[in-house]
Amino acid sequence: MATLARDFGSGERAAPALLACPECDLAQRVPAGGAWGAIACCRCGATLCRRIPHALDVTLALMITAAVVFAIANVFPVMSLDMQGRHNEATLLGMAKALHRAGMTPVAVLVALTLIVMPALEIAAMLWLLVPLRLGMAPEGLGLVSRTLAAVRPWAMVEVFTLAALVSIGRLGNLADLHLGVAFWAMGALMFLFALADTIYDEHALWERVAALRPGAAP
Amino acid sequence: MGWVACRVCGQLNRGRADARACCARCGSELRLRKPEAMARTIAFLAAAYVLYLPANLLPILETGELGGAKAADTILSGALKLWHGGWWPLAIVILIASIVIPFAKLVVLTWLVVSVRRGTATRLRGRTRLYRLVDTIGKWSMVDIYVGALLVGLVQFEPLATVSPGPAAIAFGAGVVLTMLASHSFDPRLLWDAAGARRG
Repeated sequence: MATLARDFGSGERAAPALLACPECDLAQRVPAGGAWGAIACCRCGATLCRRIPHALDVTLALMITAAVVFAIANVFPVMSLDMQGRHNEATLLGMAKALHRAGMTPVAVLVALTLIVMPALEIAAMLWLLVPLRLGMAPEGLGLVSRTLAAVRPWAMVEVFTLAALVSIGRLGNLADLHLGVAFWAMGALMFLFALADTIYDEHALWERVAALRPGAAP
Repeated sequence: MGWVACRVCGQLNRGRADARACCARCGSELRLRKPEAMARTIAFLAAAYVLYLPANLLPILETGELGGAKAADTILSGALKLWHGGWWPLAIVILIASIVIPFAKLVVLTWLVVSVRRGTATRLRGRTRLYRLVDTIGKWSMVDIYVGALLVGLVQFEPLATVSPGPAAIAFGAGVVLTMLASHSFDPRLLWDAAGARRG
């Protein structure tokens, strides 16, 4: 298995023995081995942990892709509108700027935070954790970055924006000549990348990997 | 003496819950339950209730056209416009995301807070699931804010046609953020604690 020498580790890792459910606090033993998938709390059904082979490798690949797609989504317009020879286009930042000009600065800040800052932080934090691990090093500031990631995640709303863009087509379609821009498709792709990463990534796998790198610091 | 699970990395730490301790693995502060969960949830909920009426009654978008005709749309009238324009699936999306979900969030979180106070011991699994649902769907209410932002960004053809945000945009945006904060600060483990305390 020399080709896997610098891998994140094989899929057949032992699951953590004792876990407390994050939603009902019942401590329970998680059996080692078994099939792929998520392990649910036996009392309330919340996800305790996931057992997916090469979860960290797959998440890293998804996040590198997400970084590129996110950059594209920020550079190109989401949509453009033509009306009697005049042309107008909206980028993500342009939307926030337009709200600010219209006197709605708090809403502009909310839009910029949830569509630009938070997704960027999520991608950056994931890469910060996963790239060094892939290279066989423990990431700097592990605790701080993990806490940031946990705080940022609920506020990144790429998938909600994708739905809103579809609704906007309905609002503008009959009004004028509407063209979908590159960022429209990029945000749609980003939605799938984040959704996939969310179902595959497991922080228990991350910490097990870190513990394997630093045997002395293992609890 | 007992076990405390870390909120960030899931590690179980042995120790007393009242002492200020940090997780042995990731260094995050250890707490048995989310701090001041009930007080914070109630405060955020109260503020969200106050904003619910202006968010739904005031115009969220104002459209101006050549000839001086100015029209103001509330969330509901915007959805009805979509419906009459033949885009009824999108109208249903807006009705669910902007009217049903925010209201359901307020009602469900209020019910959960009341049931913790009363120490209700029935349907614990169902109530935990309901909390999980509310926590997950919360962000989808932002749809209307983004639709508004796109329209305001795109339709700037002075004096032919312009779209500008109405006062409900601030109330609605703040309402979404407040209900999200309310559901993040609520701790579903309190449901189980309250039931356990009643059983003795």
